[in-house]
Amino acid sequence: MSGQDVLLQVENLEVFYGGIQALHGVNMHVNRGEIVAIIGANGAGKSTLLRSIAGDKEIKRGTVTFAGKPLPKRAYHVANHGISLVPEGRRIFANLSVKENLAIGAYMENNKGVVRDRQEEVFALFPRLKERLHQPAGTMSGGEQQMLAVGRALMAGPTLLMLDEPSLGLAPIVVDEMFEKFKQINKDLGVTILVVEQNAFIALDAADRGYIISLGKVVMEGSAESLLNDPEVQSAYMGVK
Amino acid sequence: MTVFIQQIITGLSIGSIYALLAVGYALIYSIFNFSNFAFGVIMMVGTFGAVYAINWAGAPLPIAILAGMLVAAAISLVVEVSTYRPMRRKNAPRLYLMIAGIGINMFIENLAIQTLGSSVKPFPSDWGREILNVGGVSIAFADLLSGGLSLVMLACLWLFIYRTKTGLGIRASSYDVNTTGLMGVNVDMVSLVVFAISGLTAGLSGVFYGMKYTVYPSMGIVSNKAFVAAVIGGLGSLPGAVLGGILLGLLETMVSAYVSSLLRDMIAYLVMIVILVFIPNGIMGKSVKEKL
Repeated sequence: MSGQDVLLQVENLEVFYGGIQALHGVNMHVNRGEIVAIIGANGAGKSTLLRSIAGDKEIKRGTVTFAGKPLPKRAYHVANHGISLVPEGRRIFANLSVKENLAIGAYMENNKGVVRDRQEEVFALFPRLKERLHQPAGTMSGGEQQMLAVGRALMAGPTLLMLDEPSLGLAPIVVDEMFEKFKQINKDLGVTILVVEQNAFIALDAADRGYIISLGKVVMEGSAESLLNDPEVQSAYMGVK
Repeated sequence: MTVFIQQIITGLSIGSIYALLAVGYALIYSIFNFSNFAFGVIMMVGTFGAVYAINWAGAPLPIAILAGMLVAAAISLVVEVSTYRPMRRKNAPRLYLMIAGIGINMFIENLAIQTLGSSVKPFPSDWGREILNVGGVSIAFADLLSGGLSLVMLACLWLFIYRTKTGLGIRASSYDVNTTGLMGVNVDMVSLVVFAISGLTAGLSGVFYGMKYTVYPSMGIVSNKAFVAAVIGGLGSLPGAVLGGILLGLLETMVSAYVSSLLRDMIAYLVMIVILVFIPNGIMGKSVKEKL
């Protein structure tokens, strides 16, 4: 990639839950066109990082800039600035149909033609969603719900897609398929991806670069390949002895 | 037989007034998980809006009804923007929002007593008191109007919620307001729409209630019954609120007609307690179930 165009820059981010500090000055960035993985154990602060970027968690200190501009504070503004989040646990609207869930993703897009085109993109990626279009989303399997959560996020036409623990609660084979789709979204649709995972192997395998977060701090960073081959990372996050 | 039909019609008419009010409770509860206990004064202020539209401006009845609805919607928005929203922003527990609502209710009620006087006034239109006779059954125009217009209002509300984009935003918010915001929906706008709608329904029901009975600053107390109706139906469920309202209206009327009007409220509240003991979520209440 020429000139390393920085899309998302996080500097000295500090976030608290009540009196407890969850992030202790996190620095990281995502270049345009990359897939970046954030690896860490449960409670390391990975989700907090994504939620802070998404405007869902108040930032105490530090800055987040997106495409060279400071990010707005409110969640719906962030979403309308080209950052879409697939939240942890998917959080699809179980009371709405598949079609309505997708429509919520494109809520702020008033051009019906654009919405239709995006819907076709999502169907091309996840044909299953088209078959289930009028079904209540809550009646679908976990894997299908994850497809819907990703499809809903894509309906906003994001520049940056953020995925929070997409492997959670899914069968290994479904997880593999899902990460293949993420690569496809990255390559074919040109969407930059920031993925947070406990499943280090699968995430780093798909990613270009990675960060290891522990106790609210970045403890290691580098190319996905170097992290995959790092003995410390292997023993701490991949169960390699 | 004609007496029975007469009671059914009266029951449906008062029930539709409860249903309109109960829908207002249910809408707000379904999204924000708290009951708007300032609802009584919102209804009362709307009714006075209609009364003064007639007394001061000489407005014809349809315009007065509209004025009452708009005044109630305005006060509903004021309550949301001045009190509930700032409290939600500070993550106040839902219980405190309800306590604030009770405070607003008392404040505005007493303000109305001080400025407008506590006296009971007839609604300044005799149109509603005229009687239509159909085969021995006499129906007051007010009953016809409140039954008919309530139905129209509820149908419009249904269309709005299930057929428009804003309605979709409301339904998504009622399932998960936080995620709805994350998906790019301006939830503050959704809340304004919801408070405006609940104000419109409160104003409409207030005008009907005033036409049927009388107008006075403490009339908002009737919204307690609508709250009962919303709970019987299942808090947060719109069809449940309508059902609960109609049921409560019929129940009250039947008790008044065949038992004693003195026992009306006693029995109505007893039934509510019994229903809650056996089905705490109400008839159509949403069961709290989450799929990870």
